[in-house]
Amino acid sequence: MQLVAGGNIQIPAQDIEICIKTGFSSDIELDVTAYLLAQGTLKVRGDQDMIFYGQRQTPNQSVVLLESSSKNPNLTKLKINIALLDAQIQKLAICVTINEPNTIGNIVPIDIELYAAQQRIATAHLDTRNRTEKALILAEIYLHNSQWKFRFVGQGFNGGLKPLAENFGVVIADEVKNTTPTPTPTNINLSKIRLDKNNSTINLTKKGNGFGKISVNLNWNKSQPKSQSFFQKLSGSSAIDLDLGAMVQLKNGEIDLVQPLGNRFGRFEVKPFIQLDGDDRTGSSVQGENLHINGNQWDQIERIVIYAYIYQGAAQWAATDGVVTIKIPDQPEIEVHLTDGNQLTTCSIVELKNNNGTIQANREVRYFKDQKYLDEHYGFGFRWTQGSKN
Amino acid sequence: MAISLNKGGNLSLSKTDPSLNQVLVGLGWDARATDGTDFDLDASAFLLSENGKVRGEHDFIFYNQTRSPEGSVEHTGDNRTGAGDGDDEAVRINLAQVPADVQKIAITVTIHEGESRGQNFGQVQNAFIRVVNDQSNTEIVRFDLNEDYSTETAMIFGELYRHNGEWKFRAVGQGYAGGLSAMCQQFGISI
Repeated sequence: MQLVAGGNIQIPAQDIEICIKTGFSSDIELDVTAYLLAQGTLKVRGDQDMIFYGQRQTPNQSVVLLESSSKNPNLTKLKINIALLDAQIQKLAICVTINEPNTIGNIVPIDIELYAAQQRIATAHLDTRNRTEKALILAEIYLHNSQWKFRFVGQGFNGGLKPLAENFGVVIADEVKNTTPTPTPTNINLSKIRLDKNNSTINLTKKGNGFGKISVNLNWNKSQPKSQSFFQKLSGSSAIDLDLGAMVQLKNGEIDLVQPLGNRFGRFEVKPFIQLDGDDRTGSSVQGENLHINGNQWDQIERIVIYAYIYQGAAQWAATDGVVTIKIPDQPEIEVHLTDGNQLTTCSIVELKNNNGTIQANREVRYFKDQKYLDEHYGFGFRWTQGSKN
Repeated sequence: MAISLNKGGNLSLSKTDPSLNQVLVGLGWDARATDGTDFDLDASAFLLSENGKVRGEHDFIFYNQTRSPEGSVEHTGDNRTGAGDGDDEAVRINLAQVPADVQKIAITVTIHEGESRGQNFGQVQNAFIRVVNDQSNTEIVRFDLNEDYSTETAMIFGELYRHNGEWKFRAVGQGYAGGLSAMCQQFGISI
């Protein structure tokens, strides 16, 4: 059955496969995302309800995303087992987004095939000519009168990912307005690179004169259980105080340290080219802890180790849901999750190395008894004494 | 509890709901969230005599002529986007006041310029048309347009008709090519 946009069909089996076929030139990036939408709200409940390249399947594999490495032709498959879907989920929106400055009009027509129990039961064809959207809802799988159905939608948003994601209840934070202006809107949540155990290093090449203002944010969840949504605004107060710090070694051999303990807040315009925003002592600030690296002086910097420590509160790291986000203008966002729990209170998060002028970012996530042990591991060579905040 | 009618199903309004005198035909849909031309759905009523045609142009109640001369049929006005909750357009019919030579009233729903815009009911979110007892506010019949009539751009929803001294409702649910102007021609109005 060939569906026109708006047309729907009942799905006669539990196991479904959706094939999305298209093609595009090598400079184009296309991403397929499935948003799992809850009954009643028709919004996502949290980041667990988005299946995309950063999270290719649900924990029980009710939804699995399979992407092809070839761009032309390009084939993406979504395997869905309806029986395994969480009972709260009433609709899946299957979407494509395309990178700036492209639009859907820049890719070859999209052919969609719907398989149920290995039988092809429907096809749909989307003519991409003259389409101005940067994000499209291709299709929906949804529950209607106790029956699961498939609809070919083919509607979208000229503004791309942000309005699409907001349509499904995903909160995307706006960029801080006074940072170095970027020529294109950044897609905060989805264009980022997640450094994890399988993908622990990335190299970023300079665009223009320098890397601009590099912002490092540490945020953590003070009161909510781990399973709760990461999109929810962090709120509430707590006894836990996490601090963000950095050790830096310059090209000339000088070393320096930036951290709230000892009131070492650093300098941005001059050495050490790293500055800490005020200490979020109460943990009540939704922004968490921030430090800024002067990326225009990257040529003077040899390496930086960014770390966090638990200043107060006997929390385990895993219970804090700590996330460090590194924003470099014109570069994909880097995100590191502090996932492992143990009793060691200091954690190195990421090492930024000057590799022939590029930024090589290595995920560390190593735990130490305190900063002194961390220093010994990385070989900076500071002299340490006991201290506390005023 | 609304009764779900299949195409062509009949329902005696006065037997189902003896108190029925004021009928409200409600049409609702969600405003478009995606970019593109708004979905502009229109509810209309044609007052038809024995031969299935209007007696005159005054028997066509729609967004540009919202009231029949004697006032038995009244349209609440045009909604062009679907903004707002519940019924976005409604046609109110006072059955007792309908002129005696009107044998039936056809209720239609169309997408304004739907064919030229490439739109159909399936592209509209939560599009429905329903018949309600306007006095008790009880829903009698409801169609989910975006589910069951997804590929249509115009349809005859149903007919209120006289039968043995009582009013009945027949759910027609028939898609229609050509939109509102084609319907006008069928019911004897030259555009």
